[in-house]
Amino acid sequence: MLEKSCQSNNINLSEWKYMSEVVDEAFIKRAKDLVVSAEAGKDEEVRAILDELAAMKETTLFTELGKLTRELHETFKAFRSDSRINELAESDIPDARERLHYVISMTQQAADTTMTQIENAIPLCEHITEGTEELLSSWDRFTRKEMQVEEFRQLIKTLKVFLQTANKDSKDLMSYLNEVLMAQSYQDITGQIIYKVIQLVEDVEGNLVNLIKLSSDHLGIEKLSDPEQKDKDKNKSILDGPVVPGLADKAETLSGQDEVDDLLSSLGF
Amino acid sequence: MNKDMKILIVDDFSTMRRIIKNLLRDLGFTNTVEADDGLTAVPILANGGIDFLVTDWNMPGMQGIDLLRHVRADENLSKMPVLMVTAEQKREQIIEAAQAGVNGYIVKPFTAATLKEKIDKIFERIDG
Repeated sequence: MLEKSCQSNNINLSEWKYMSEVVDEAFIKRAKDLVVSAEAGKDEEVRAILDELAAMKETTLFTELGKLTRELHETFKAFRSDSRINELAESDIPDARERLHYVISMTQQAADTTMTQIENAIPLCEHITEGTEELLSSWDRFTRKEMQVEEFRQLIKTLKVFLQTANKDSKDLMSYLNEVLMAQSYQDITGQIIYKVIQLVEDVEGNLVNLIKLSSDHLGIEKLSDPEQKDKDKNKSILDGPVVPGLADKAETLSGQDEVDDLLSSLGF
Repeated sequence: MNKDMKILIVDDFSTMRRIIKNLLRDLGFTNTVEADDGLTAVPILANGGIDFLVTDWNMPGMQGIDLLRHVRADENLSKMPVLMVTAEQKREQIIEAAQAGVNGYIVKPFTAATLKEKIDKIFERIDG
Protein backbone atom coordinates (compact mmCIF):
# COMPACT_ATOMS: atom_id res chain seq x y z
CA MET A 1 0.00 0.00 0.00
CA LEU A 2 2.87 2.28 0.84
CA GLU A 3 4.51 1.64 -2.53
CA LYS A 4 1.24 2.21 -4.29
CA SER A 5 0.65 5.55 -2.63
CA CYS A 6 4.17 6.67 -3.56
CA GLN A 7 3.53 5.74 -7.17
CA SER A 8 0.27 7.66 -7.30
CA ASN A 9 2.09 10.59 -5.77
CA ASN A 10 4.58 10.45 -8.59
CA ILE A 11 1.75 10.61 -11.12
CA ASN A 12 0.43 13.68 -9.33
CA LEU A 13 3.84 15.28 -9.55
CA SER A 14 4.01 14.83 -13.33
CA GLU A 15 0.42 16.04 -13.66
CA TRP A 16 1.42 19.25 -11.96
CA LYS A 17 4.34 19.75 -14.28
CA TYR A 18 1.98 19.30 -17.25
CA MET A 19 -0.54 21.70 -15.74
CA SER A 20 2.01 24.36 -15.03
CA GLU A 21 3.32 24.09 -18.61
CA VAL A 22 -0.20 24.71 -19.94
CA VAL A 23 -0.56 27.62 -17.58
CA ASP A 24 2.77 28.96 -18.71
CA GLU A 25 1.68 28.94 -22.38
CA ALA A 26 -1.47 30.85 -21.52
CA PHE A 27 0.61 33.11 -19.33
CA ILE A 28 3.11 33.86 -22.12
CA LYS A 29 0.25 34.56 -24.55
CA ARG A 30 -1.34 37.08 -22.15
CA ALA A 31 2.08 38.60 -21.44
CA LYS A 32 2.55 39.22 -25.16
CA ASP A 33 -0.94 40.82 -25.24
CA LEU A 34 0.23 43.00 -22.36
CA VAL A 35 3.22 44.26 -24.39
CA VAL A 36 0.99 44.95 -27.39
CA SER A 37 -1.58 46.82 -25.27
CA ALA A 38 1.12 48.81 -23.48
CA GLU A 39 2.72 49.83 -26.78
CA ALA A 40 -0.70 50.86 -28.03
CA GLY A 41 -1.16 52.90 -24.87
CA LYS A 42 -4.37 51.08 -23.83
CA ASP A 43 -4.15 51.68 -20.06
CA GLU A 44 -7.47 49.98 -19.21
CA GLU A 45 -6.47 46.81 -21.03
CA VAL A 46 -2.96 46.83 -19.48
CA ARG A 47 -4.46 46.98 -15.97
CA ALA A 48 -6.93 44.19 -16.74
CA ILE A 49 -4.25 41.92 -18.19
CA LEU A 50 -1.92 42.56 -15.22
CA ASP A 51 -4.69 41.55 -12.75
CA GLU A 52 -5.40 38.45 -14.85
CA LEU A 53 -1.74 37.43 -14.90
CA ALA A 54 -1.39 37.84 -11.12
CA ALA A 55 -4.51 35.72 -10.56
CA MET A 56 -3.17 32.98 -12.86
CA LYS A 57 0.05 32.71 -10.88
CA GLU A 58 -1.75 32.67 -7.53
CA THR A 59 -4.14 29.91 -8.61
CA THR A 60 -1.25 27.68 -9.74
CA LEU A 61 0.61 28.26 -6.49
CA PHE A 62 -2.40 27.47 -4.31
CA THR A 63 -3.29 24.37 -6.34
CA GLU A 64 0.25 23.06 -6.03
CA LEU A 65 0.47 23.85 -2.33
CA GLY A 66 -2.86 22.14 -1.69
CA LYS A 67 -1.84 19.03 -3.57
CA LEU A 68 1.50 18.88 -1.83
CA THR A 69 -0.14 19.12 1.58
CA ARG A 70 -2.68 16.45 0.73
CA GLU A 71 0.01 14.15 -0.63
CA LEU A 72 2.13 14.55 2.47
CA HIS A 73 -0.85 13.83 4.67
CA GLU A 74 -1.78 10.72 2.66
CA THR A 75 1.74 9.36 2.65
CA PHE A 76 2.20 9.72 6.38
CA LYS A 77 -1.20 8.18 6.98
CA ALA A 78 -0.21 5.22 4.81
CA PHE A 79 3.14 5.01 6.55
CA ARG A 80 1.55 5.00 9.99
CA SER A 81 -0.96 2.30 9.21
CA ASP A 82 1.42 0.22 7.11
CA SER A 83 4.84 0.18 8.69
CA ARG A 84 6.15 -1.73 11.67
CA ILE A 85 7.11 1.54 13.38
CA ASN A 86 4.21 1.35 15.85
CA GLU A 87 4.92 -2.26 16.68
CA LEU A 88 8.61 -1.48 17.08
CA ALA A 89 8.00 1.45 19.38
CA GLU A 90 5.24 -0.16 21.43
CA SER A 91 6.50 -3.69 21.94
CA ASP A 92 9.77 -4.59 20.24
CA ILE A 93 11.97 -1.88 21.71
CA PRO A 94 10.73 -2.48 25.30
CA ASP A 95 11.23 -6.22 24.62
CA ALA A 96 14.80 -5.56 23.54
CA ARG A 97 15.36 -3.56 26.70
CA GLU A 98 14.10 -6.50 28.81
CA ARG A 99 16.37 -8.86 26.87
CA LEU A 100 19.42 -6.70 27.43
CA HIS A 101 18.62 -6.37 31.14
CA TYR A 102 18.41 -10.14 31.28
CA VAL A 103 21.81 -10.37 29.58
CA ILE A 104 23.27 -8.10 32.27
CA SER A 105 21.78 -10.19 35.07
CA MET A 106 22.96 -13.47 33.46
CA THR A 107 26.52 -12.22 32.94
CA GLN A 108 26.58 -10.89 36.49
CA GLN A 109 25.33 -14.18 37.85
CA ALA A 110 27.97 -16.07 35.86
CA ALA A 111 30.74 -13.76 37.07
CA ASP A 112 29.54 -14.10 40.69
CA THR A 113 29.39 -17.90 40.49
CA THR A 114 32.85 -18.07 38.89
CA MET A 115 34.43 -15.81 41.51
CA THR A 116 32.70 -17.57 44.43
CA GLN A 117 33.94 -20.96 43.25
CA ILE A 118 37.47 -19.61 42.75
CA GLU A 119 37.38 -18.13 46.26
CA ASN A 120 36.31 -21.57 47.52
CA ALA A 121 39.11 -23.26 45.59
CA ILE A 122 42.00 -21.01 46.65
CA PRO A 123 42.15 -22.10 50.37
CA LEU A 124 42.16 -25.77 49.25
CA CYS A 125 45.18 -25.12 47.01
CA GLU A 126 46.90 -23.25 49.85
CA HIS A 127 46.17 -26.15 52.19
CA ILE A 128 47.67 -28.68 49.77
CA THR A 129 50.73 -26.45 49.22
CA GLU A 130 51.35 -26.04 52.99
CA GLY A 131 50.90 -29.76 53.64
CA THR A 132 53.26 -30.83 50.86
CA GLU A 133 55.92 -28.30 51.98
CA GLU A 134 55.82 -29.61 55.56
CA LEU A 135 55.97 -33.24 54.42
CA LEU A 136 58.80 -32.53 51.93
CA SER A 137 61.01 -31.02 54.68
CA SER A 138 60.27 -33.96 57.01
CA TRP A 139 61.00 -36.36 54.16
CA ASP A 140 64.34 -34.65 53.50
CA ARG A 141 65.29 -35.07 57.22
CA PHE A 142 64.28 -38.73 56.99
CA THR A 143 66.41 -39.41 53.87
CA ARG A 144 69.37 -37.65 55.56
CA LYS A 145 68.82 -40.04 58.51
CA GLU A 146 68.28 -37.10 60.87
CA MET A 147 64.98 -38.45 62.17
CA GLN A 148 64.36 -40.21 65.48
CA VAL A 149 62.01 -43.21 65.65
CA GLU A 150 59.32 -41.31 67.56
CA GLU A 151 59.46 -38.43 65.08
CA PHE A 152 59.15 -40.93 62.21
CA ARG A 153 56.01 -42.44 63.79
CA GLN A 154 54.61 -38.92 63.98
CA LEU A 155 55.47 -38.35 60.29
CA ILE A 156 53.53 -41.49 59.30
CA LYS A 157 50.47 -40.20 61.17
CA THR A 158 50.80 -36.71 59.60
CA LEU A 159 51.20 -38.28 56.17
CA LYS A 160 48.01 -40.31 56.54
CA VAL A 161 45.99 -37.29 57.68
CA PHE A 162 47.43 -35.23 54.81
CA LEU A 163 46.58 -37.87 52.18
CA GLN A 164 43.02 -38.12 53.49
CA THR A 165 42.42 -34.36 53.44
CA ALA A 166 44.24 -33.91 50.11
CA ASN A 167 42.01 -36.58 48.59
CA LYS A 168 38.88 -34.81 49.84
CA ASP A 169 40.23 -31.36 48.88
CA SER A 170 40.99 -32.41 45.31
CA LYS A 171 37.48 -33.85 44.93
CA ASP A 172 36.06 -30.55 46.21
CA LEU A 173 38.37 -28.67 43.84
CA MET A 174 37.05 -30.73 40.94
CA SER A 175 33.46 -29.86 41.84
CA TYR A 176 34.32 -26.12 42.12
CA LEU A 177 35.99 -26.27 38.72
CA ASN A 178 32.92 -27.96 37.25
CA GLU A 179 30.75 -25.17 38.65
CA VAL A 180 33.05 -22.63 36.98
CA LEU A 181 32.74 -24.56 33.74
CA MET A 182 28.93 -24.68 33.91
CA ALA A 183 28.75 -20.96 34.68
CA GLN A 184 30.22 -20.28 31.23
CA SER A 185 27.00 -21.48 29.59
CA TYR A 186 25.83 -17.87 29.91
CA GLN A 187 27.84 -17.13 26.75
CA ASP A 188 25.59 -19.33 24.60
CA ILE A 189 22.33 -18.04 26.13
CA THR A 190 23.27 -14.34 26.11
CA GLY A 191 24.75 -14.73 22.61
CA GLN A 192 21.38 -15.96 21.31
CA ILE A 193 19.53 -13.13 23.09
CA ILE A 194 21.89 -10.44 21.79
CA TYR A 195 21.57 -11.87 18.28
CA LYS A 196 17.81 -11.26 18.49
CA VAL A 197 18.39 -7.65 19.56
CA ILE A 198 20.75 -7.18 16.58
CA GLN A 199 17.95 -8.39 14.30
CA LEU A 200 15.63 -5.81 15.87
CA VAL A 201 18.19 -3.03 15.32
CA GLU A 202 18.39 -4.07 11.65
CA ASP A 203 14.59 -3.92 11.50
CA VAL A 204 14.55 -0.38 12.94
CA GLU A 205 17.26 0.57 10.46
CA GLY A 206 15.13 -0.78 7.58
CA ASN A 207 12.15 1.28 8.72
CA LEU A 208 14.26 4.40 9.01
CA VAL A 209 15.46 3.79 5.45
CA ASN A 210 11.80 3.60 4.38
CA LEU A 211 11.11 6.92 6.08
CA ILE A 212 14.07 8.52 4.27
CA LYS A 213 12.80 7.00 1.01
CA LEU A 214 9.43 8.69 1.56
CA SER A 215 10.97 12.11 2.13
CA SER A 216 13.30 11.69 -0.85
CA ASP A 217 10.25 10.88 -3.03
CA HIS A 218 8.85 14.27 -2.14
CA LEU A 219 12.06 15.98 -3.06
CA GLY A 220 12.14 14.15 -6.37
CA ILE A 221 15.30 12.24 -5.46
CA GLU A 222 15.73 8.89 -7.16
CA LYS A 223 14.17 6.02 -5.22
CA LEU A 224 16.37 3.79 -3.09
CA SER A 225 15.80 0.11 -3.52
CA ASP A 226 15.91 -2.23 -0.56
CA PRO A 227 15.47 -5.83 -1.65
CA GLU A 228 17.45 -7.11 1.36
CA GLN A 229 14.81 -6.08 3.86
CA LYS A 230 12.16 -8.20 2.18
CA ASP A 231 14.47 -11.23 2.12
CA LYS A 232 15.21 -10.71 5.79
CA ASP A 233 11.52 -10.67 6.68
CA LYS A 234 10.97 -13.84 4.68
CA ASN A 235 13.80 -15.68 6.43
CA LYS A 236 12.74 -14.57 9.88
CA SER A 237 13.36 -17.45 12.24
CA ILE A 238 10.34 -18.99 13.90
CA LEU A 239 12.44 -20.18 16.83
CA ASP A 240 12.04 -18.21 20.06
CA GLY A 241 15.47 -18.85 21.56
CA PRO A 242 16.22 -18.59 25.26
CA VAL A 243 13.31 -17.73 27.54
CA VAL A 244 13.61 -14.19 28.89
CA PRO A 245 11.64 -13.75 32.15
CA GLY A 246 8.57 -11.59 31.64
CA LEU A 247 8.62 -11.89 27.84
CA ALA A 248 7.66 -15.51 27.22
CA ASP A 249 4.15 -16.51 26.24
CA LYS A 250 3.24 -18.33 29.47
CA ALA A 251 0.62 -20.58 27.90
CA GLU A 252 2.98 -21.88 25.23
CA THR A 253 6.34 -21.85 26.99
CA LEU A 254 7.45 -24.36 29.60
CA SER A 255 9.20 -22.98 32.64
CA GLY A 256 12.11 -25.39 32.86
CA GLN A 257 13.49 -28.92 32.73
CA ASP A 258 10.85 -30.33 35.13
CA GLU A 259 7.95 -29.17 32.94
CA VAL A 260 9.74 -30.45 29.85
CA ASP A 261 10.16 -33.83 31.54
CA ASP A 262 6.47 -33.88 32.52
CA LEU A 263 5.39 -33.11 28.96
CA LEU A 264 7.68 -35.78 27.52
CA SER A 265 6.53 -38.39 30.01
CA SER A 266 2.92 -37.57 29.11
CA LEU A 267 3.95 -38.35 25.52
CA GLY A 268 5.28 -41.75 26.59
CA PHE A 269 8.94 -40.88 27.15
CA MET B 1 26.56 -48.36 28.81
CA ASN B 2 29.86 -48.37 26.94
CA LYS B 3 32.07 -45.54 28.19
CA ASP B 4 34.23 -45.75 25.05
CA MET B 5 31.35 -44.96 22.72
CA LYS B 6 31.99 -42.16 20.25
CA ILE B 7 29.83 -39.08 20.89
CA LEU B 8 29.21 -36.28 18.38
CA ILE B 9 28.48 -32.88 19.98
CA VAL B 10 26.74 -30.37 17.66
CA ASP B 11 26.31 -26.72 18.74
CA ASP B 12 27.08 -23.42 16.99
CA PHE B 13 28.47 -21.89 20.21
CA SER B 14 31.95 -23.26 20.94
CA THR B 15 31.53 -22.42 24.64
CA MET B 16 28.61 -24.81 24.88
CA ARG B 17 30.47 -27.56 22.96
CA ARG B 18 33.38 -27.28 25.40
CA ILE B 19 31.04 -27.37 28.40
CA ILE B 20 29.28 -30.50 27.15
CA LYS B 21 32.60 -32.11 26.21
CA ASN B 22 34.03 -31.45 29.69
CA LEU B 23 30.88 -32.68 31.43
CA LEU B 24 30.93 -35.86 29.35
CA ARG B 25 34.59 -36.39 30.22
CA ASP B 26 33.69 -35.97 33.88
CA LEU B 27 31.08 -38.71 33.41
CA GLY B 28 33.74 -40.97 31.91
CA PHE B 29 33.06 -40.40 28.20
CA THR B 30 36.31 -39.26 26.61
CA ASN B 31 35.70 -40.23 22.99
CA THR B 32 34.00 -37.10 21.60
CA VAL B 33 33.95 -35.19 18.31
CA GLU B 34 32.42 -31.78 17.59
CA ALA B 35 30.52 -30.05 14.78
CA ASP B 36 29.23 -26.47 14.67
CA ASP B 37 25.93 -27.11 12.89
CA GLY B 38 23.84 -29.77 11.12
CA LEU B 39 25.60 -29.34 7.78
CA THR B 40 29.03 -30.12 9.23
CA ALA B 41 27.59 -32.92 11.37
CA VAL B 42 26.08 -34.83 8.40
CA PRO B 43 29.41 -35.85 6.76
CA ILE B 44 30.86 -36.84 10.17
CA LEU B 45 27.82 -39.07 10.77
CA ALA B 46 28.10 -40.47 7.23
CA ASN B 47 31.71 -41.52 7.87
CA GLY B 48 30.35 -43.87 10.54
CA GLY B 49 31.56 -44.78 14.00
CA ILE B 50 29.35 -42.32 15.92
CA ASP B 51 27.36 -44.04 18.67
CA PHE B 52 25.53 -41.13 20.27
CA LEU B 53 24.48 -37.67 19.04
CA VAL B 54 24.10 -34.63 21.32
CA THR B 55 22.72 -31.64 19.38
CA ASP B 56 21.49 -28.07 19.81
CA TRP B 57 18.34 -27.00 17.94
CA ASN B 58 18.79 -23.38 16.81
CA MET B 59 21.85 -23.31 14.53
CA PRO B 60 22.66 -21.60 11.24
CA GLY B 61 22.85 -23.79 8.15
CA MET B 62 21.05 -26.93 9.22
CA GLN B 63 19.05 -26.90 12.43
CA GLY B 64 19.09 -29.64 15.06
CA ILE B 65 15.53 -30.79 14.33
CA ASP B 66 16.46 -31.32 10.66
CA LEU B 67 19.61 -33.16 11.68
CA LEU B 68 17.45 -35.42 13.88
CA ARG B 69 15.09 -36.11 10.95
CA HIS B 70 18.10 -36.78 8.71
CA VAL B 71 19.41 -39.36 11.22
CA ARG B 72 16.03 -41.08 11.56
CA ALA B 73 15.61 -41.22 7.76
CA ASP B 74 19.01 -42.81 7.13
CA GLU B 75 18.88 -46.60 7.59
CA ASN B 76 22.52 -46.72 8.77
CA LEU B 77 21.90 -44.09 11.45
CA SER B 78 18.20 -44.47 12.30
CA LYS B 79 18.79 -46.38 15.55
CA MET B 80 21.28 -43.86 16.93
CA PRO B 81 20.25 -42.29 20.26
CA VAL B 82 19.87 -38.51 19.98
CA LEU B 83 19.87 -36.08 22.92
CA MET B 84 18.75 -32.53 22.25
CA VAL B 85 20.26 -29.75 24.40
CA THR B 86 18.59 -26.45 23.54
CA ALA B 87 17.21 -23.13 24.80
CA GLU B 88 13.95 -23.76 22.92
CA GLN B 89 11.22 -24.60 25.39
CA LYS B 90 7.93 -24.04 23.67
CA ARG B 91 5.43 -26.81 24.13
CA GLU B 92 4.92 -27.30 20.39
CA GLN B 93 8.67 -27.53 19.78
CA ILE B 94 9.15 -30.23 22.39
CA ILE B 95 6.24 -32.16 20.86
CA GLU B 96 7.81 -31.68 17.42
CA ALA B 97 11.14 -33.09 18.66
CA ALA B 98 9.36 -36.02 20.31
CA GLN B 99 7.51 -36.80 17.09
CA ALA B 100 10.76 -36.60 15.13
CA GLY B 101 12.13 -39.34 17.40
CA VAL B 102 14.36 -37.59 19.93
CA ASN B 103 15.56 -39.78 22.84
CA GLY B 104 16.08 -37.02 25.40
CA TYR B 105 15.49 -33.27 25.69
CA ILE B 106 17.45 -30.89 27.94
CA VAL B 107 16.72 -27.17 28.19
CA LYS B 108 19.52 -24.66 28.65
CA PRO B 109 20.81 -23.60 31.08
CA PHE B 110 21.17 -27.09 32.53
CA THR B 111 23.19 -28.75 35.29
CA ALA B 112 25.77 -31.54 35.19
CA ALA B 113 23.31 -33.70 37.15
CA THR B 114 20.59 -33.23 34.49
CA LEU B 115 22.96 -34.28 31.72
CA LYS B 116 23.97 -37.41 33.62
CA GLU B 117 20.37 -38.28 34.46
CA LYS B 118 19.19 -37.97 30.83
CA ILE B 119 22.12 -39.96 29.43
CA ASP B 120 21.59 -42.71 32.03
CA LYS B 121 17.88 -42.82 31.17
CA ILE B 122 18.50 -43.04 27.41
CA PHE B 123 20.93 -45.95 27.76
CA GLU B 124 18.83 -47.72 30.40
CA ARG B 125 16.05 -47.94 27.84
CA ILE B 126 18.34 -49.01 25.04
CA ASP B 127 20.27 -51.58 27.10
CA GLY B 128 17.21 -52.78 29.01
